[in-house]
Amino acid sequence: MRLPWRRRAVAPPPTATAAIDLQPLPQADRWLHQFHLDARRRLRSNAQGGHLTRRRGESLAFREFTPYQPGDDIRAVDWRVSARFGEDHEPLVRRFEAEQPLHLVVSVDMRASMWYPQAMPKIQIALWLAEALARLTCRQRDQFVLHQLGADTRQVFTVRSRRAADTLVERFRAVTPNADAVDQSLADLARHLPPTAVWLIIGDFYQEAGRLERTLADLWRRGARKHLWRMLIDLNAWPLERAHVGHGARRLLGPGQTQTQPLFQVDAAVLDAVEARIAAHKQALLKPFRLSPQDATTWFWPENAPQDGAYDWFRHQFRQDPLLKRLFMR
Amino acid sequence: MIFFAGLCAALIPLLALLHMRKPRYLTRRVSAARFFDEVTAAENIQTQWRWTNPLKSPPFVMQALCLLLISAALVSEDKVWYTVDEPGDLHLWVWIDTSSSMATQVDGTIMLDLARAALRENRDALAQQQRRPILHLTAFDLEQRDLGHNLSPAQFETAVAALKPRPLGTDLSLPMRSRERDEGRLQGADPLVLVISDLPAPTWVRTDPNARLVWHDVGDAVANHGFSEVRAVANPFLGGQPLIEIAVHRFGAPTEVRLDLKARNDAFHDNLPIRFQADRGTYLFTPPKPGVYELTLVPEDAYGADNQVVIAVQDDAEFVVDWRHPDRTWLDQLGWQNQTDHAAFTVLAPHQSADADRQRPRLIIGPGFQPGETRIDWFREGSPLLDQVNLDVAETLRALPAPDLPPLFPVLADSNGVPWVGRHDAPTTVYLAGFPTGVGDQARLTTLLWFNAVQTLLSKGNANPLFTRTRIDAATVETNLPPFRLDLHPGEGRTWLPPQSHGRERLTATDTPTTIQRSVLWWPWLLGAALVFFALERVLAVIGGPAWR
Repeated sequence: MRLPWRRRAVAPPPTATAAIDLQPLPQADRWLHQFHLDARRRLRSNAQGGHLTRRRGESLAFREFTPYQPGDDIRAVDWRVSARFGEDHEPLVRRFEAEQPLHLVVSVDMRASMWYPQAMPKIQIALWLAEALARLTCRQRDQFVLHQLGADTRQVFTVRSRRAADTLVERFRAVTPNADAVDQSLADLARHLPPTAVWLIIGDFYQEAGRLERTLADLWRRGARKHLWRMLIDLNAWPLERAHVGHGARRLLGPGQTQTQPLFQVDAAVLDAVEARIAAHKQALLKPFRLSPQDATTWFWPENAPQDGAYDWFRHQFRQDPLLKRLFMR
Repeated sequence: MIFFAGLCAALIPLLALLHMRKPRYLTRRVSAARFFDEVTAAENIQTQWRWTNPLKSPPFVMQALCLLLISAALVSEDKVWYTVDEPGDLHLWVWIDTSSSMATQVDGTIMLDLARAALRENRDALAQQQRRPILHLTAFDLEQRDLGHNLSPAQFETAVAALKPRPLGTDLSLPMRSRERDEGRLQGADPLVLVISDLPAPTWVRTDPNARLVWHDVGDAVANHGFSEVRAVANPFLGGQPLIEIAVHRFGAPTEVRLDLKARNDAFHDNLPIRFQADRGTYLFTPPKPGVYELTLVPEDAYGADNQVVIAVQDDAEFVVDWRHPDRTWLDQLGWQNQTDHAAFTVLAPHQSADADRQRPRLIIGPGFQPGETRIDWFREGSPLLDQVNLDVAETLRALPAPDLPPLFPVLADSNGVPWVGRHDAPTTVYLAGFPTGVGDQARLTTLLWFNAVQTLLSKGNANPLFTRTRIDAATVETNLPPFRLDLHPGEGRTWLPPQSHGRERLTATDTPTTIQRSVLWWPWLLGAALVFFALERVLAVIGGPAWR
């Protein structure tokens, strides 16, 4: 029996997933109705979907006139236009846009650091973002694919209905972070990345540069060669954590750390140094991705967690994010 | 205790000090913690003492209360909180007579059943006193048998129901001797002794009017006749044909009683009426031949144990003694045959008494007499041992004390307590201070004492007895094979005595308080309260964890 004046021996921190009570995106989402995916990309033909591509196809949307080639349907020859070019010119054939469904693939980093800070966990914002995009995608009968990066359960899920979109929170809650499940995760993901896909990575990029990051960067670069539309959103909670740490003597506990961590005398200089170190780490981590400025954006956490919850802050970020603006057609 | 109480109290300031110990740092959980690993650690800021009011900490209050209560419990070791009145205990020590006479028939039942009924009656009387009876049960006849102390009523009833009369006599002094010996044995209580017997209260009961003793005589006047004594009266010292004296008593209405005499081998049979004078009749019987004879009184009556006697008449009347005394002068002078087997009695010195046969009569001879004046201070009047003795002559001699003398009832002793003559039963023992000595009256006196002792040992039938009586170590009747063991104890057949109880009013008396005051001390309650606070603090600590502080 412990003595009354002794503090209880501090147990290891609970698993991040157990400590955070993830909330689903509210059902009242009329504000989402103003958004409409506008993903004009070069898509393969002989597919049908809600979005037009520059691939020639059989839709009603006119694309261009091309000279007649053997095998073309004679009914597609526009005789009136061909007559304008004279008898020496090849007959011109009317070409139409092809219709293909959009694959919106969202990779969410599920590793332990994403479940911090407790006042406003990054994983909560990532969940809401994924849910919002899933609802928009399913509303337009396109395909939404959730990829859970660094999870020990099945990592890739295809969402085709609003009802399935509403169950994403359960998939998040069921996750136990496991960085060892990387290879299979990315192999599954590669199968869900057709050239018509839009790939969005959501994470905090706090992890050490390991095999996961290398494999991910490799996949990212291969996507570039396939002209895949790729986006990366960096969830940066440092401003909130910096304010939370404050100044003075501190014992700082991160994912998987216990009370045996050393004590620090924290001041502004220390925090500046840490901030610079975080920035350097992220830069080094993302360098293999060869990001262009229009491919990535960062969501900086406010210094103080919103009193009325993070949902309003999330909606604000959703509306203002330049990457998402390009994705949506208002 | 004061020291330990002070120690506990001194722990309270120490406890307060420990509650003021606070961690100097704050713990923060952040996802960027690992980026602090290049920051220099500062380990000298672990804890600090910070003035806080410990009374604002519920755990401290509980712990301090716990210590205070323990201190108070140690200090108030003998302090009485309050007293309560509780019903007083009444230790009732019941003695029930289980001797042979308790089998006497009375109106279709036996005397022991009357004793059980009397016991129920007495318990009913006790039940009205609002005291809690604590029962102890003892059966007695020739021995005391404790059947249990602190018995519950059910156990008591069971033990009483299992009692049966035994073919033994009654030693009425057993309750007195046991009471003297067992004073304070029953948890320090002075028990009320209730003796239930078919015999009248003995005189010793009345000697101490303050004695908490009740004698309940359940006996009733029942007509009875029986053998008083059957003994050989012919002096084997002189030789000759055996002669049997048969004494018969009769109580109650005069009835015709006949004596049936029969040899077991059917060689002799006689039947004759007994002539009573003052309810006593005597008949001298000369057995025609040695052998076994059955003597029966007819008709049967309420107490049958004294109506039949079986005797064995020896065929060898030769007189022999077992002489072990180192002085063999008188053995040679008397010309007695010295032989261990079939000896009439044993002659020995005081220090040899432990080695002798415990069943055979003894004549213990002391260190002797010396000339000199002495004063006789004690003599038992009427004792056959002093028959024809001139005590004036005795005061011209001085008996030497015997250091190894076993316990004896003195018959003749001087003013210094030195016994001249003493006796004891079981086995019959006579003590003489010395062999015949001196001249003239002194020689006649000491010789007379010698032969009185020899005659006593022989005339009592102790030598080659016709039968023996049941004993504590042989409490069964044996009439088939010699030596015959009969339930023929003096006094058991005296059933005509009117009931004579003593002190029965004590059962309903209120000489002892019906309630006793029980003191309730402080310390168990204080200790219990301390335990409650301790348990509460521990439970809350388990539930609340470090935040509970």
